Amino acid sequence: MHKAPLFITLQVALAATLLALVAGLLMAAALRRRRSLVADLFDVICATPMILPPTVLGYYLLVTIGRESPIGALWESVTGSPLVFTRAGAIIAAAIAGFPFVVRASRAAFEEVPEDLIVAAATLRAGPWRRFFTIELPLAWRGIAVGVMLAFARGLGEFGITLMVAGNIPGRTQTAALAIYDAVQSQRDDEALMLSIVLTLSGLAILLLVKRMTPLRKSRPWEL
Amino acid sequence: MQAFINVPYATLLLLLLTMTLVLTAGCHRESAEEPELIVAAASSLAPLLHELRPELEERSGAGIIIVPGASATLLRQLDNGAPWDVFLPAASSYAQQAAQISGCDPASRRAWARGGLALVQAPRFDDERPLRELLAATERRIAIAHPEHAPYGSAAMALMRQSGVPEADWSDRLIIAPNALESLRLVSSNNADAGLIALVLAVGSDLSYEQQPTPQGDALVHEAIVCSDGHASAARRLVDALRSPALQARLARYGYLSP
Repeated sequence: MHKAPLFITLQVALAATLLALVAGLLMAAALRRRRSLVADLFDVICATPMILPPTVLGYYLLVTIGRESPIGALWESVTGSPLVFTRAGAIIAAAIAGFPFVVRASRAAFEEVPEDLIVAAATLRAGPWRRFFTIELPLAWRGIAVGVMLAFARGLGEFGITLMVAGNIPGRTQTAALAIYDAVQSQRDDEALMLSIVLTLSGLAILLLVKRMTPLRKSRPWEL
Repeated sequence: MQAFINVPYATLLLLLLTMTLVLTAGCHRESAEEPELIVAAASSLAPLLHELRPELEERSGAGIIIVPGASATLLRQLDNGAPWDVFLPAASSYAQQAAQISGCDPASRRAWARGGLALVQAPRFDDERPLRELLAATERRIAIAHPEHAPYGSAAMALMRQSGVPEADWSDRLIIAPNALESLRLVSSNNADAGLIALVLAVGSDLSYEQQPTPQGDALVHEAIVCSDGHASAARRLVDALRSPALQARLARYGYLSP
């Protein structure tokens, strides 16, 4: 079994998870406890990667970060290489796929934090950043971690967006999911089976971890 | 911040960040050390190129990464900035279009082979039927590559239309695969009953096959074009290698005709 696709998958999924975590956490923090049309609109837009076909997302991304786009041109002028059909492109593709998991799980976790704790901290002159880092984030960490793990799992298996944005270049952008597709097409069934088993076991392990981390109501840290 | 720092998963995130940085650094080193030619080839060529890889690497003086796909898809990717050093579509029209793309050298276009079509039938059938009978009198489903994306798919469509059997009799029994390689896989796994596929794939497979008439014109003339920034001379050597008498003789064994 070739190890390169697994190595690339791990690298892409880790980097994508970090990207999704930063962007998703910011978005979730901005949307928490907001009930307005604008907030709902943002919430819906953030969720679209979960329901749109990967080809649609891939197309949008290709248009957005392709060589002809302002972002793609800027990237190329700075780094000297295009953003698409590189590992950076694969990371962005996987981050887009994982982003909604972080946003949804984090937003739900933030909203579970009792508001009276935050109000109490405010009366003690704790500023918004301090309240966020000392109350909301510590109490919401379990939900955020669940979102991060789901995003990582999604990144491990990402296929469609990656294929369109990063191509299927062995040793460079070919992740395990793409390598399985290649192996099946080329009738290298043993390789396809081995990679499939590795991805399946990884996914199951992550889901089991998520299951174990999902708190029962009684076990919430603030409900002593 | 104290409470946040105490969170065990902050440690986990830090670990993730460190691992990512380490892995990323490792990968950049790996790609910088070994210059390689990325050869984007029609999927029908992939098995052959894998077999010829040692010779092609020796003659070009560079490592080779083979990226298979439907010719139209690879062309579209090239247009979007895909870093193909050599583009090997299954029809000259795609090389002609590639020549218009910035970064590709129109003067480097070279025809190096002419492909053919073969009819293969799924291993579960003992009775092998000719194409016309298959189209007219059976319920068997026929796999072909996508006619709009893959030259072997459009050549297969043209051949079936020339068979004299009304298209209405067989059009709903077609299974359209994304590319030529996938159409072979559908037949060999018994998921399609028959397939009109690239001759080179049929020769390299375990399936019995019947060679079909070679399409007229330049429908399946394989051309190569160099689109390389950094490895243009190695890319040209690879194209020259494909046209060399030694490799042409090997190509002939796979049913390729001289262009």
